[in-house]
Amino acid sequence: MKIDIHTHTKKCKSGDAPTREISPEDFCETILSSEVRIVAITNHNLFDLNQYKTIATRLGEDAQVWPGIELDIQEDGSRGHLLVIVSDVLATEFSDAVSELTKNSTPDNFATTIDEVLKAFDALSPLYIAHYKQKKPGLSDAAVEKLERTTKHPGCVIKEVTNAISAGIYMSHGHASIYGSDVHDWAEYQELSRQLPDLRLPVDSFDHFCLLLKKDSTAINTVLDRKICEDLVLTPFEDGTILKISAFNDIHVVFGDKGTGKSCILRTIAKYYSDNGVDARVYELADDRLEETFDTRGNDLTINLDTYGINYCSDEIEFLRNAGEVAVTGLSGYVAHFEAKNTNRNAKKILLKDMEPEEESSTKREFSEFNEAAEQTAKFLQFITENVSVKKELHEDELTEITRILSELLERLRKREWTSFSEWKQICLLNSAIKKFRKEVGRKTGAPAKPTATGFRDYAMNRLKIWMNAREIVKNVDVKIPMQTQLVGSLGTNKGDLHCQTEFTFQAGAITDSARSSLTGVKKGTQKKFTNCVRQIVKHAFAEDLFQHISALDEIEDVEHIKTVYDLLLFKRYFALEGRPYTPSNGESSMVLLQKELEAEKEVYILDEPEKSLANEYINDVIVPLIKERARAGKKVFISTHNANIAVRTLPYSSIYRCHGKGGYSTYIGNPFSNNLVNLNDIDDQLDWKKISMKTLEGGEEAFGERGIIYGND
Amino acid sequence: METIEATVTHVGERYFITIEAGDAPISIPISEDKPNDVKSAFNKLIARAKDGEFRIELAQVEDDLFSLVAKEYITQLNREIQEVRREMEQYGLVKD
Repeated sequence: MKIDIHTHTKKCKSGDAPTREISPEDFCETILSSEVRIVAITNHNLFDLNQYKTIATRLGEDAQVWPGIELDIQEDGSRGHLLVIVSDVLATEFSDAVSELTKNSTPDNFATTIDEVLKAFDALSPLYIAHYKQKKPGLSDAAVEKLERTTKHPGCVIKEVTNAISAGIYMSHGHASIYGSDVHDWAEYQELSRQLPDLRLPVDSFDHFCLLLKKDSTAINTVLDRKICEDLVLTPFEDGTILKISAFNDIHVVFGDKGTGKSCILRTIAKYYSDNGVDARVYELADDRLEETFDTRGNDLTINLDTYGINYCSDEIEFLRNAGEVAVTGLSGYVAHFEAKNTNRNAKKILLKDMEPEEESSTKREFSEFNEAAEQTAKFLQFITENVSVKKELHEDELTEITRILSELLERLRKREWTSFSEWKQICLLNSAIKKFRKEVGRKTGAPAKPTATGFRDYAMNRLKIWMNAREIVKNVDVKIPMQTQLVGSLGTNKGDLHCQTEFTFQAGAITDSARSSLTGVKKGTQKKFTNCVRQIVKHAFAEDLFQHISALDEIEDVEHIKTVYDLLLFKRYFALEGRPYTPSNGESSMVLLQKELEAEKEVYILDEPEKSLANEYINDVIVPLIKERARAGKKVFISTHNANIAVRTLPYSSIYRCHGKGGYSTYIGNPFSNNLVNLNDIDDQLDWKKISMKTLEGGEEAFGERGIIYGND
Repeated sequence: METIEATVTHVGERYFITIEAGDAPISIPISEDKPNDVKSAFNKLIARAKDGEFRIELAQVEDDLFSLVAKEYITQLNREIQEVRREMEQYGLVKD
């Protein structure tokens, strides 16, 4: 939620750009398209009550619009601008006051003094925002001082500067500062609005804003009490000290000198949530954590080959390893049969023995095909009669028609299935009978039976199966698996994104790259020999030396560990920048690990000194926004830090300060909104949050600029 | 379908079925049990079956023992070759 205290809806002065003009409709649409939810209309020396009311009505509950004006002030010979903004409930009174003040003048020639401004508006309890220094034309220090001195609301005088950086600098020097868009071209507002100040605490109204600005403790506590909060009672230290903290669905910072037990507090918080079934662990940086997190050694690395349409080939490998030669029928059987003359009269009557066996495979195949077709049709029929979506899409008569056709088809397929089955079995029985009769006649008469087959079929089918299985394995290990790329995190705008790349390759027989490791731990030599052997089996499937290669496969050391082609996988996993291998430094590792931690979807984030090895610029630009985003999403964030950028710029809902003095360790709890820290054991012992933070935290005074960006500073 | 001629040949007392397939004839010994030679012949027949459909026809059928054996053997072999060929077609293992 952002605030814009300085906008224009009209071209009032001749020098104003025409692009400042905007209709109430477009104004509302533009504001609601941005993150701005509080906006003040501050045209030059003019307040249009009708336009204001139209806008206020149109925005309704979606955003607050405050009436205001940007006045030309002539004071002590210098000219500057002053914004005067009042509560929305006083819009009519404000309009009257503006009319009275600006009568007999035009926006172009109007100028007034501090005294006249106070006379016209001070009774309306306004917010005065003076253009200051680089924000031209600025009021002189003397004019601002006069305003602060003579108004009845000195807590509501703020200096308007040009941007967040200036605001930070001025605030660190004790000047309450803010900045608005001062929009010149509404077409650029979306971009402009991204730089506007965030509201850290929810603001209900103009008056509420003023109370928060004045650090009214009741107003601050009311806002904090509204936030979802749970009370944690912890005993983080060995001495049994009880620490009671309010855990908001927001940011909490633990700070203090080294060795004061900050990490103990975090660990206890993590334990509390873990014991309550919440995923909570303390994020700490370690040198090797990036490699460990991304498992560059591949200890737990897996890949699903189905995703790439790769057959695991477990049956094929098992078949090859158990493959054996099939015997052929000896020719001597034929010779013996034709040599012997069967004179047995009864034997001659048994004609069955002289019949030629019939081919079985065609009928068997036909049966299998009809069987498969019938099964699939039955499944589909069941699917469409039970599926809710199909029923929704089809009319009842359409469903009936489809069901009828499919049922008829199924019936016909079942018939064909049965016919082909009986034909197949008929041939099987016939062949079996021929074989048996030949054998028995031969046995009884002493005349050898005629062999029923040369053995070519079984021999050829065995070779074909070996060839097919080996070819299937080779085909699959020759598949190129696309490289897998996973985003690790950003290394900043100069270097770009760091990725973790994983190359999976099968040991196709010729890979010698030592940087590739075996995925399953099967020796690389074993993998290589195995693949090469299978290739030889394919090549020699119909050659006489086929079984030499099959024997060689079986003799490979540890070949029993290769059960599927998965066991032939090699991998290489590494970090990369722009596709090239890259070794991130410790600082870069910290950057991406912290990003990853904060981007993980969790309820509780516990970070122990996340700033380690990180540059302030990176903390400001990447980490602080991520922490704020987590807080906006209603997550609990606990951070132990020595870094002012984190402790201050995140504006924590709760701060825990640990210190060690003459009386031992002390714990203070407070927040930046009320700007105090209260000793847990002595309510009267209070510290100034800002002073303690500046003293204890590293990171430069500029960090304090943004702390009070909305509510001012002391 | 192509027809390949086969004959019964002999070298001394050793008889063979000689099938004229391709550049080198395929030879199957009849008068002695030599399974490796038969397998070698089968390997060549498998390769031939991949190239195209064919049947073996025995030329100059006589009434002697080895001709009778050869005739019966080739009859059975033809049946089995057709069966294997159909299996090959089924698995898409044959050349167009």
